[in-house]
Amino acid sequence: MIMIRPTARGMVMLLATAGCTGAAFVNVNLTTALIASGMMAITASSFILAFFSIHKIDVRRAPNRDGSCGSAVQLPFIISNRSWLWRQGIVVRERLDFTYKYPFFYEAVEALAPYETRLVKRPIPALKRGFYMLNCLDVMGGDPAGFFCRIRKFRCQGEVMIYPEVRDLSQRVNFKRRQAALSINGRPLGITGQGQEFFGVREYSNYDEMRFIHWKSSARHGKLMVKEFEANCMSHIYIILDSERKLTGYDFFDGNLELLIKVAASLTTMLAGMHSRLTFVTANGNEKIRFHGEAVSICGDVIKTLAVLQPGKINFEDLVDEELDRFAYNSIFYCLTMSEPDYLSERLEILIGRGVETRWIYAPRKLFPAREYGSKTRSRYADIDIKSTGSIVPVIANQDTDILKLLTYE
Amino acid sequence: MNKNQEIRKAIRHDFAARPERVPYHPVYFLMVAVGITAALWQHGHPFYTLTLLALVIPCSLVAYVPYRYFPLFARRVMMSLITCSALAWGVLRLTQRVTPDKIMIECICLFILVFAFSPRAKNYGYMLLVSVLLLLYGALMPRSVYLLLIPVAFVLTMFMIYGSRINGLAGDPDLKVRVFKYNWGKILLHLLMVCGFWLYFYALMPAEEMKGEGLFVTSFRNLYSSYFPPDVNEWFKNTQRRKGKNGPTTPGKNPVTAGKQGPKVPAKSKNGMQSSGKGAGPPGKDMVFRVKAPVKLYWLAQIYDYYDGDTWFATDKMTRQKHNHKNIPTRPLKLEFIMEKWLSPVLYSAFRAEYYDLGSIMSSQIESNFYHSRFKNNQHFPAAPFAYGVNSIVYSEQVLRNRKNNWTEQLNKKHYLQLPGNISSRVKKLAKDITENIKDPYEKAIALRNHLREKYAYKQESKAPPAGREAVDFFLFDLKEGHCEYYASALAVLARLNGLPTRVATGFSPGNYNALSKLFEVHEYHAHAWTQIFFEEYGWLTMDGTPPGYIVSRTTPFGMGVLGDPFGNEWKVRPPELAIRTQELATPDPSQKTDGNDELFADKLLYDVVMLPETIGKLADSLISKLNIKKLENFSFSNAFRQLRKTLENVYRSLRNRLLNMLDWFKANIILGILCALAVAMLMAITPLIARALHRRYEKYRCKKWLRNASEFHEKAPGKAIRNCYMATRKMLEINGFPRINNMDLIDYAAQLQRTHNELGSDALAVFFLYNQMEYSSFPATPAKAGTALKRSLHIAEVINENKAA
Repeated sequence: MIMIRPTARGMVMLLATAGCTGAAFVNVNLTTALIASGMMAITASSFILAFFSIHKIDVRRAPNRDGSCGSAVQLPFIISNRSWLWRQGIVVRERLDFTYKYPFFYEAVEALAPYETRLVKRPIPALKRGFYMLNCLDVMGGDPAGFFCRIRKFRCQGEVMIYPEVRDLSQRVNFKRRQAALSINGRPLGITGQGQEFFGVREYSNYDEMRFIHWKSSARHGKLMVKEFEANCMSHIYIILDSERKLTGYDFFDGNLELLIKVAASLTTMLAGMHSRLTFVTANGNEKIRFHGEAVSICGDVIKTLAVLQPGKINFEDLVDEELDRFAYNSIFYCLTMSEPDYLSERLEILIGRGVETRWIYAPRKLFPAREYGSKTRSRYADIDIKSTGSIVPVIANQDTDILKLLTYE
Repeated sequence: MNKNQEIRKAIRHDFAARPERVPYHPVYFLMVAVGITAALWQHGHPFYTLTLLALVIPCSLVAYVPYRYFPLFARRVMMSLITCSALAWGVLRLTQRVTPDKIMIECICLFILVFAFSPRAKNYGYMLLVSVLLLLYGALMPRSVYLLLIPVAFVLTMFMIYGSRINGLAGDPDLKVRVFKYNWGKILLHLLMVCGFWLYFYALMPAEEMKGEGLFVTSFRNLYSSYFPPDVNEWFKNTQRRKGKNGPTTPGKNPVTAGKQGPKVPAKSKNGMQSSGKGAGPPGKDMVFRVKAPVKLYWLAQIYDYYDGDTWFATDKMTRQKHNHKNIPTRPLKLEFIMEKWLSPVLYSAFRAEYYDLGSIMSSQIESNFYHSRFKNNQHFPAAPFAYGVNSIVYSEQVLRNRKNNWTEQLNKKHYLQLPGNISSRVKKLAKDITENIKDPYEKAIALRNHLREKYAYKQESKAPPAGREAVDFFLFDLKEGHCEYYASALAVLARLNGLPTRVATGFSPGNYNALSKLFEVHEYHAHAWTQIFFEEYGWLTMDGTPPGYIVSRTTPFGMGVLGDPFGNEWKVRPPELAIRTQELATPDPSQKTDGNDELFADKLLYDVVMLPETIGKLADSLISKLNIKKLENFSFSNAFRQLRKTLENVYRSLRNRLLNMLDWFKANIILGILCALAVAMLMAITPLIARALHRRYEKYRCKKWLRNASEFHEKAPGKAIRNCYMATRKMLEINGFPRINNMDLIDYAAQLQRTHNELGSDALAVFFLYNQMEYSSFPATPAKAGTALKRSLHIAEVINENKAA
C-alpha cells in the first residue's frame, strides 16, 4: 500500500490542529471549539481523500532525444487514467541532475478525463552537461487541499545525453593564417610535407623534417636546403583543454572548466562546417584523450567526450609536452587553461618559433566563484596577477565573459 | 543568478517591471484583514486596530506599482520602517503594562504589512500563515464578531488552499495548473466531508476547563471573570478603565480589590411575598449577576412557608432550623456567581446552597441558614463586580429511590401543609378535581402545574385582590390572569390542598445563556416566583406554574448560540432538578475522577440525536400496547435502547477517564511530558538515520573484509579472490550511489557507468569481465587475473574516496 505522508503545509496544518485542539481543551468556549473542530475536520477529510488520489493512474516514458546545455530538452512521458472518473491534477517528478531545480524536477499535469491518455512533452532546461540515466518517474497525488500526498514510483528506464552549449561562431572567429614565409626567391613557403606539388627548394628552418633535406642543393649552396611544396590551404587547428581537477571552480553550472568546454565545443562545431583539420587533446579523468583528423569526421567524438568530460589528475604540461612535436607550421593553437604555469611560456615560445599562432584563453578559478556567494565576490581583473609570459598574453575569462568576445581574436 | 540579481535584471530590461504577484493577490490581503480583525477587534488598542485595518487596502495596492515609481530601495526602506514601528509600539505598550500576549499580537499585526512591500512571491505563503495564526489566536476570546469572521475566513482560506494545491504537493511555487474548472467535484466532496466531520468533532469538543492562570498572565478570559464588554462602545472605554488609581487591572483576575466597598446593606424589608405583588420584578434591564453553572436551575433568594390568605412569610421556625443530611450521598454542583448589581443582601444560589467560597469576605459579615447566606444588615456590600463560588446540592433520583425516608428537615412535613382558614370551598374542589384519579404525588403536582399553565393567562401588571379577599381564590376564579406571584401562590395552595408539602420561593429564573462566554446572564426582568414541592423519591422540586413562554430565557448570540447551548428547553417541561443533565451530574459515581461538572452532552443537538432511539422506543412501546401484541408484552424497546445508551456511555466514560488520567499526568508533569514528547519525536527522526549510517558502516566493513581476503589468498585461491573482488566492487558501487538496475547485464552496467564515470566504469568493466569469465567460461582463474581484479577493485575504492574528499 502506498503510504500517505503530509506535505509541508500538511505538517503545518497538523501542528496547528494539535495546538488548536489543546487550546480548545484548556480555553473552553464556543469559538475555540469551532476552530479546533474545523481544523480537525479539514485534516481528517484531507487524510481520507488522499487515499483515493492516484488510484488507476499509469505513467510510462516516451522516447526522448538528447539535448544541449542552455536549451530545453524534452523528456516526454505518457500518462493514462484507467478510471471512469475525472482525476484531479497531479504532479510528476523526476530526479534530474542537469537542471536548475535540483534534485527534482516537477511537472504539473492537469486533470485527466475518464480513460484519457495524454502525452506530456515536458521541456526541461538543461544546465549541466553529461550523460544521465533516467530511472523513476514519481507520480504525486493527494487530497484536494494538498495537505497529504501519496507518491507512486514508476520504474521507467531511459537515458539522455546533455551536450555542452555550442555558440554560433561562424561570422566572428578569424581563422586566417599568417602570411606564409617567403623563400630566398621571394616565393611563399609552404608547410613542409603537406602539399603535393614540388616547386623548388628553400633554406632549412628549425621545424623542417630531416627527410625533406635536398642534399644536392645543400652542397651547392653550402647550407642546408629543403624541398619546397605547394602551400596547403587547409587550416589546422589544435585545441588542448586543461581539465586538472584541482584547478576547477566551485560553481555547479558555470565553472571555469565548463566555460572552456563550451569554447572547445563551439570551436569544434564551427570547424566541422569548414574544411579544416582538428587535433583535440584533453584528459578525461585520468585518461588522456586525443582526436585527430578532419574536423567534420571527429566532431561527434569530440562533442561526446566534452559532454562526459570529468576533471582528473593529469596536468596541462603533460598534454602539451606530448603534442609539442606534432604542431604543424602555420597552424592555430587554442590553449584553454585554468592556470598560468611557468612552463607554458617556454612552450608557447617554441610554438611561435614554429609558426604556430597561439590563442591562449585563461579561465582562473578565482573568477568563477559559486553563484550563491556571487554578489560578494565579483570578479575583478585587478585581482589576478598575470605573470610575464613573453610575447603571449592570455585572454582572461570570468564568469560573465561572453564566448563570442573571447574568441574574437585578431 | 540569485533572486536580487534577477529582480535588478528585470528592472533594467523592463521599464514597467513590478514585483511578483501570485494569482488571487487580493484574497491574501482580505485574509490579512480578517486575521487582524479576529485578533484585535474588541481586544487590542481600538484606534490602533482601526488604523491597521485602514492600511491594509493601500498596502495591497503596492504590488501593482511599477518599480520606476516605487523603487526597490524605497520598498526596503518601508519594510524597515514598519518593522521599527512594530517594535516601537511594542515598547510603548510595555510601558502601559499590557499583557505580553496582546503586545506580541499587536506587533505581529503591524509586522504582517511588511510582506506587502516584498518583491518575492514566496512571501505570500508566510502572509497567509500569519493571518491564520492571528485567526487562531482570536478564537481564544469569544466575541460575536468572531462568529461572523469564521465563515469568511473559512471560505477565503479554503479558496487559496484549493487554488494552490499543486504547489503544496510539489513544494514548487512556480507550477501553474487550472484547479477549479476540472476539480470542482473533488473540492465539493472535500467540503461536504469537512462539514460532516466538523459537526462530529464539535459534538465531542468540550472538556473540563482548566483552572488557574496558566504559565503566564494573558489577556483573554479565564475562569474568574468575564472580561469582554458586550458592546463595541465599551471597547473604546476599556483602555480608560485601566488607568485607575490602583493601577491597571489585569484582566482575568478576581475583579474585587481588597478594601473596596459597595453601598450599605439596607434594613430588612417586610418579610413576606404578597400574592398580588408586582410580577416578575421591576421591568429593569440591568444585569444583576452572571453564573457559571453546569446545569440550568432557578436561582433562589428566599423561601416562604406560611400563608395568611394574602401574603407568604418565612417563619423563623423554618429559617432557623438545622438541616439533617442523613448521609445522603451527593455530588455538589459548583456554581460561580459574579454579582453586577446588588438588589438584595442575599447571596444567590441554586437550592440548596451548602458551602460558599467568598474570597476575602469574612464570615462575620454574613449570616446563613439551611439554604442560603446573606449579608448582615450593618455591613457594606462589596463593590461590584463581585465574584463568589457556591456548592449547591441537588439530590439524585437514583439515590433517593433506594432510601426509605428522605425528609432531611427538622420541621415536620405537616408544617408545609398549613393553609389559612379562608381558603374557599371552590378552591378545594378545584384542587380535588384536577387530581382526580391520579394517585402518584408527582403526577398530581404536574397536573396542577399544567392546569395553571394552560387555563390561565399571564399578565405582568395584574389587579390586586380586593381587601379581605383570599388572593388565590380571586386569581383562580375572578381574575384568571396574573403574574408569577399569583401562579406561585395558587400552585402552592392547590398542592397543599392535595397533601403535598409545598412552599413558595422567590429569586430569579435561569436567565439568558451566553454560548460564547458559557455564562447565564441574569437581568432584573428575570426576577421570578415559583413553588417548591417535596416528593419522597425526588426531594424538593421546582414547580413553576407560570406559562413557560413568558419566562425570558434566550440563548445568545442569536442563531449560533444554539450550537453551544447544552441545556435546551427540558427545564420548561420537567422540573429542572429532574433534567437528565442535572441528574447525571448530581448522581455520585465513585469511579469518576471529575468533580461533578462533566459535560456529557456538549450540545443540545447531540442530546436530541442520542435520545432519539429511546424516543422512538417509547413510541414503539405505546404502539405495541395499543395493538396488544402479546409476544412483545414483556419487551420494551425504550428500555433496550436505554440499556444500549448506558453501555455506550460507560464505554465513553471509561475512555474519557483514561484520557483525563493522561491529561492529569501531563498537567502535573507538564515539563516532563513535553520533554518526553520531544524525546520521542527526536528518536523517531534520528533512529532511521542512525540505522542507515550503521548499515553503511557495516557494508563498508564487509567490502574491506572481502578485499582483504582477496589480497590474502589471490594466489592460493584465485577464483575465490575474483569472487570477493566482484562482491566488493558491486557493494562499493551500490552504497556510493551507483546501483545496478535489476536484471541488468553486468557488462552493460559497467558500460553505463563508464559513460558517467570513466575511471570507475573501466575498472568495474574489468572486474565484471573477469568474474564472468571465472564463473561461466572454461578458462580457469589464474593468480594473474585475480591480481588484476584486486588491483582494479582497490582502484575503485581509491577513486570513490577521492571523489568524496573532492
